[in-house]
Amino acid sequence: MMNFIKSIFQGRYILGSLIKQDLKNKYRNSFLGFAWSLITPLGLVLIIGIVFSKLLGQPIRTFIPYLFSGLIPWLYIAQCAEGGTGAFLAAEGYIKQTQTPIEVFPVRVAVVAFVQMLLSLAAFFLTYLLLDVNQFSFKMVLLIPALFIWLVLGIALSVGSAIAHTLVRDYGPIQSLILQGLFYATPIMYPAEILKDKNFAWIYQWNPFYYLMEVIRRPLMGQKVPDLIHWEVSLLFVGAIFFLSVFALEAIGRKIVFRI
Amino acid sequence: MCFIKLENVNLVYNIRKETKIKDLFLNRFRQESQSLEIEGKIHALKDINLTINSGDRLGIIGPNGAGKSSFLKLIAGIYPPTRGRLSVRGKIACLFELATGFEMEATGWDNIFLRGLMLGQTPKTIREKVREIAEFSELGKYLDIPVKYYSSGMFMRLAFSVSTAIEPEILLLDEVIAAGDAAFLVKANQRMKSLMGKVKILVFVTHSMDSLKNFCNTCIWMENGQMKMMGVPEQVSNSYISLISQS
Repeated sequence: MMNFIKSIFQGRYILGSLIKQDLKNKYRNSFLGFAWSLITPLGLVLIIGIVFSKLLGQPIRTFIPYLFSGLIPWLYIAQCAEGGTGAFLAAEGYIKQTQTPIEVFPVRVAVVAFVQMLLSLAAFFLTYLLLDVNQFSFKMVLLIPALFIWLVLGIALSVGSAIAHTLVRDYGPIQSLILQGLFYATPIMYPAEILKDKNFAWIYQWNPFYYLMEVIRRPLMGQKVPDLIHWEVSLLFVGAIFFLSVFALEAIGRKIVFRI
Repeated sequence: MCFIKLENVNLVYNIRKETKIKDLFLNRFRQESQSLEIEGKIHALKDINLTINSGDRLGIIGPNGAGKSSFLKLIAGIYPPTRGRLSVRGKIACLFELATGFEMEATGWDNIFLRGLMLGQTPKTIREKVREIAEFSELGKYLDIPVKYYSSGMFMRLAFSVSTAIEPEILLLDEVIAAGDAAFLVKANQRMKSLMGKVKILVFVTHSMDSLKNFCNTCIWMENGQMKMMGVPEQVSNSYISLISQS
């Protein structure tokens, strides 16, 4: 644990430089560049908004914010977990040539995804402002601790999948399938009540991602404060997978070089 | 005070036998051969005990596959020892396999910066050196474009210029570097020589007995992952050569 933090601190300049490169690369050779980070989610809102309101008769004003306050965090989870699988493999040249702490590479994936999530959230708030300015409230301050939990979550997922996929190359495809399944099993696109009404409440009650979702979604929506149980389960789950993946990384350490 | 200390150091590569689902069905019909893959291990370094102190200029000779490069990479902290203890004090620079480890989409300038950081510089110190590195590389306006457009020679120049600019205390050198064209090679050799004179410890893998005698004051002959002989360069290289000419 202390070693992990020490290594990240030691490699902080490298980490910063790699993250800067990644963010720059994302929109290299693009005319609008960084603006796409805002435009893409806004465009999605427009498309999905039209589809759901015209075809399915959902009320835009409440449905759009609900959908996007769930979708943006979920995309972050997927990006951390999927991106993590290649974190060590893509850094082969660096790992085999320099003493750069290997912890830097999965953390790089998570932080880049986190910055992109923040940009998407800015687009979310912009839309929300136009749709329903009355929902803005002080409850949104709780977003700060929520984001912190989510940052640690992203790092844990990325470190974990980086180790797992480097050791066993079947991990990546399996994880993709699990994520796909979790996407539908977690109340992201639909409210949890739907499952409850059909006596499937256990599906979300036993799903830690439901609690994590509530922790970030409620402050985003500004209507309700997350319940204590949401914070508790989130902290417990994130703490557990963070310690587990960091512990695994410390146990394997530089030996990972033989598996790349 | 710089030193490198190896105590009973062993390095074992595990060769993974790749098992695919189809093998489970096909293996029954196939005659297994006793290959390395089946054995599953390469014992690259065996019980190495060695202390290298400030002022030592250590040359390493031996046939291919003797463990020379593994030895360098172990000291460099890239490969962890499988057993035994390795302690190193001093700032290390390594020169081997120069042309990998770049951000392909980033410019030459950005790559100088990043590589400098990875070699243990801080943003401040690398900024002070960036001009000098750029000048030495002679890449000029090519530094402004992404390195994915570089030729292999240009990669070499870039990597060499950064790696040799950081003023290490310990220099690990694998001779198999040919940096760029003839003109650059002369310059690179000069810089290498001055660097080899300046550093506190030099570990130098070479196949040239001349450079061994010129640059080193002690020498190891490695064979099959073990130190077969250690001593004055003159003496060790003579025994090595006489053995080669016998066979």
